[in-house]
Amino acid sequence: MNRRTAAAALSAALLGTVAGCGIQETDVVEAGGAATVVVAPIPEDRIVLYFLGPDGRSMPVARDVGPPYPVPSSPTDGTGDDRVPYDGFGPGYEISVDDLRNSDATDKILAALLAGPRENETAAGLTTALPASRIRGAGPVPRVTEIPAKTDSARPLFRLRAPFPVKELPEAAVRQLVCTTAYAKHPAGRVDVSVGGPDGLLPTARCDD
Amino acid sequence: MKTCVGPEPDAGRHETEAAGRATRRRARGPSLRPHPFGLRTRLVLAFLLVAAVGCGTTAALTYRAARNAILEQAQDTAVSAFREQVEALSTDLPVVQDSLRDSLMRIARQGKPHPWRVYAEYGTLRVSSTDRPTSSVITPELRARAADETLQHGSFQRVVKGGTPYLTIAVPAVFHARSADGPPQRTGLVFYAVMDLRAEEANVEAMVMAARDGALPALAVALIPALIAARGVLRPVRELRRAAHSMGRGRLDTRIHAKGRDELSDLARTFNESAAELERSVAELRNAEVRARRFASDVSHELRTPLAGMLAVTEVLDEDAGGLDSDTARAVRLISAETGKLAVLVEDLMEISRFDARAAELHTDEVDAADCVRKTLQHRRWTDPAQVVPHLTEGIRARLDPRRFDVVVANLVGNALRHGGAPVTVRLYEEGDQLVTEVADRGPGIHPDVLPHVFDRFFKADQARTRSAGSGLGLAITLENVRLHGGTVTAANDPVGGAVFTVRMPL
Repeated sequence: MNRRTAAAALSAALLGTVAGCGIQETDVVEAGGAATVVVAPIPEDRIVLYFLGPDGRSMPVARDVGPPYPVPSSPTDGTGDDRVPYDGFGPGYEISVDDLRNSDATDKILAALLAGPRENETAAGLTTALPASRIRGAGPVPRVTEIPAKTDSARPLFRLRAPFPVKELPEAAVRQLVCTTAYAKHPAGRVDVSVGGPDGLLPTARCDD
Repeated sequence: MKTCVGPEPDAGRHETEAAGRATRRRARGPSLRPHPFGLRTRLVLAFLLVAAVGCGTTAALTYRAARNAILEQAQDTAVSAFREQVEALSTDLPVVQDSLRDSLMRIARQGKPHPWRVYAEYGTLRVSSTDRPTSSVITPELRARAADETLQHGSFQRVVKGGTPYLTIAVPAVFHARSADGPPQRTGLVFYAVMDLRAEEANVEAMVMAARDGALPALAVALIPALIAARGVLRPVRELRRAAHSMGRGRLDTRIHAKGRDELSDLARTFNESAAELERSVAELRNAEVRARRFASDVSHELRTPLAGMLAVTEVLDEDAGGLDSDTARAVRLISAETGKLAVLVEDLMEISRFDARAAELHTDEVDAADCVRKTLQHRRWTDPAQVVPHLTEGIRARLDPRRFDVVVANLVGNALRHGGAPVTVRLYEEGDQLVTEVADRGPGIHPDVLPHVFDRFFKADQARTRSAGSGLGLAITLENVRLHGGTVTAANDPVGGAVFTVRMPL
């Protein structure tokens, strides 16, 4: 054996041993799934609205529409108004548990979405990309109607008619509308939503894809 | 002081000379110098290298596998424990900071396998189980991965900060919006756990120590077979070397003890066979030489007796030659002269035979050198100054064999008179601790081609001259006699002209 080759092999072996010592840093390694947490209140007593996080990604909020607690917190408490059963869109747009259980509350839910995040939600950095339409009284609100399926599509198709132009809406805003509608109409959100406005119709979209 | 004449019988010089030669050779005998990169060093190094590479590789591989196992176990335990803890959570959306902090505190107390610090991020809210809202150990890459809505996965990353290794875990929280039917929805809430891995690091370090503590004794153990193997190779090599040296010194009966079936014992056997063959050849040659010498000696002995009778007869014939007619008288005188020469030749042959048989003996005595030379010249009747001119330094005392010195001087002067030209100058002087005898003639000198051969037996300078007055052995006998004294004799040409023979003998 050549002496130089031997020396090279030995030093390489030693180097390998030395270099591999200790605990090294790693890249980010995927490990298992996400954690499924329980969100209060129970699904029957809440509506889910999709706002945007500080990073522009969609973030759901769950609002309690259940019956008031026997001892409600003081209305003067600044942050504690999430148990108010209706939102500030105006009279006639209060959502009750009966609305959720017996009839279709989608229009009211959309009205709550358009009303924007509440104070405590804004405090957590939530925003909306939808145009502000907090108009008291008989303001224009989105209407959702079911369109009978022309084909044998597995999903029902809903048309959302917004009272504002939709062509210029950012993608995140459209997604807010689509997801809120989808989960209002279907427990698992498995519907197609076609958003339209006075200026035309957007392509049909889904929340869960 | 003894007088400088009288031949005496020789005996027993042979032994002393042989002993002297042996001593000389032993003096420049085998020098056992150490080899810095000899076989032993190389074998030991090779063994150690192999052992080191073996130990090192094994230790490194074992270490890597064990380290990875330790880390993987810690990571897997931590990630699954953390996810389990998070999944037990119940939260509002948007989160309520105070209740979330309480939950984080609870999770922080249940760190597995080590205590951890727990952080939660939601929108712009930062909640933690410590007094700081967020951790600097969590990297942006981990945050980006956890926030990615298409990849709803837990993830972890090992980070070394300030020399301490940390495990950072990110688990995004998902929920079912209205029923467990559909795909889980991202809540925007992400939980982080930061756990230091000092315990794992200590374990890993312990393994390094164990590997090192195992490898070093293994190397030391490898030294033993290395030395044994080196010994196994070196012993026959050393033996061979000693035997070869001993052969060189003439001990042809040297043999090696060859055992085993390896290449080295094959080499030893070959050496033994070669040595035996060599010994046989040399013995044959010696026997042939001895036979030849004995033959020459026997022949001269056998010739001496009839020659003695013939010499006696020729003396009588010489005396009566005057009374014979001239042709017969010339023939008688020729026979007489040739018989005399033959007697001289036989005597010289016998002398040479004695030298060859190493039977020539030196009988040294302390004598006056100038006296010796003078007596030699007088005995040979070389007293005519036109013939021989002696320049003798008086009073040099030398230990030499007077008879042999007489032969040397007589042979050189006689040779000069016969082949060179008169006058022949004989010089005797002391040079250092040597006695120098110089015989120069005024003849034509010796041809340079011939110079190296003048001391050969029966060498004729002139090939055409087949017969000469001398026996052809004179200078050979001179050489042997000088050698017997431990001296040298050289022939050279004087630039002025004529040949110069110089004898140097120790005083």
